[in-house]
Amino acid sequence: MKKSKYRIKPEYLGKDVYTAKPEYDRPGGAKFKLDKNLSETDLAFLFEVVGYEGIERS
Amino acid sequence: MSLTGFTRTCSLASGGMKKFYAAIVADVTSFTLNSTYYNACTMVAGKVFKEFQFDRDTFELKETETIENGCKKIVHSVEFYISKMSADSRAALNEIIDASACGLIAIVEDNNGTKWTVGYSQSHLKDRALSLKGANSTSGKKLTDQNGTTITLESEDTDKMRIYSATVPVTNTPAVTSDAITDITSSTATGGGNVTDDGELTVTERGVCWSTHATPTTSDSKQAAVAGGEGTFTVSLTSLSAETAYHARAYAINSAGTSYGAEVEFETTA
Repeated sequence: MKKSKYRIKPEYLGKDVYTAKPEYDRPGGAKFKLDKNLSETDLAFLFEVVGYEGIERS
Repeated sequence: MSLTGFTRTCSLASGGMKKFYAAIVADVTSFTLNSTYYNACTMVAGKVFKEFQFDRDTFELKETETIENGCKKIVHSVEFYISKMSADSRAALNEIIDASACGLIAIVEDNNGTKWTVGYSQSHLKDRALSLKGANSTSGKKLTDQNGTTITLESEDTDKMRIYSATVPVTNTPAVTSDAITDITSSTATGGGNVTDDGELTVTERGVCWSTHATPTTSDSKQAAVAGGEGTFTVSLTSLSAETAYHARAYAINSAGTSYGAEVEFETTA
């Protein structure tokens, strides 16, 4: 399995984060549950586009 | 320091506040600041803001800036007037008053569609929450007088309000995806889906609906799964006609409404 470029900071695991609706299609819309089910696209969106503090480069 | 100036269009000149969303401090983890506005909100799992709507022209948001002993002091206040003492408005009022004891963080939407965060400060984070300043009820002396309650929430800060540009965390309809239809015979097939988000409300029913026309709904033929909730499910589609083209999609229902997955097509055998 390919290692993710990003990881969720431990203190943010399990929380819900709401952003503007991403331009790519995703079932959860603007709500992201911060767990292992987040896709690489989701993680990249949160880190690169939103600048979300709960995600860091791994 | 220099001044940059600004111009405004007439469309931005309409005033008034539209909606008030509030959450108790403990339920909000943080707001994410992107240059000058908040572009994300992190909530404790399963917690959301509650939405309150008030009568036109009865809801005011104020920001008052003063200098005291050389230090900047900014007071944010939200003031509502709830007219007539109906059971609903009393309940809403009491809910706000009770919750304000814990400290409130609010997102206020004005009639231009701009949302403002109040009670959360970039410098002091959650230490500048809104709390109750006063709740004054009055009854009119005359039949035509209005009666009701004015409630004021206030927060002292050193930062100005910031715009909130993300989706407000409120309860939503569920998110569901559709699986492809399999095991197709002349009269039966297997469908399914995945409820990926319950919208913070219990998904009471999930299943697959189908019809010979596009965009089937739960008013057409449907088969509910054995149980609601999040996650994957499978159902059997029965009583189909042979050699017929069908449209199907998964659905999920919570108290906020019904959501559908993408439409899938299939054709029964001879």
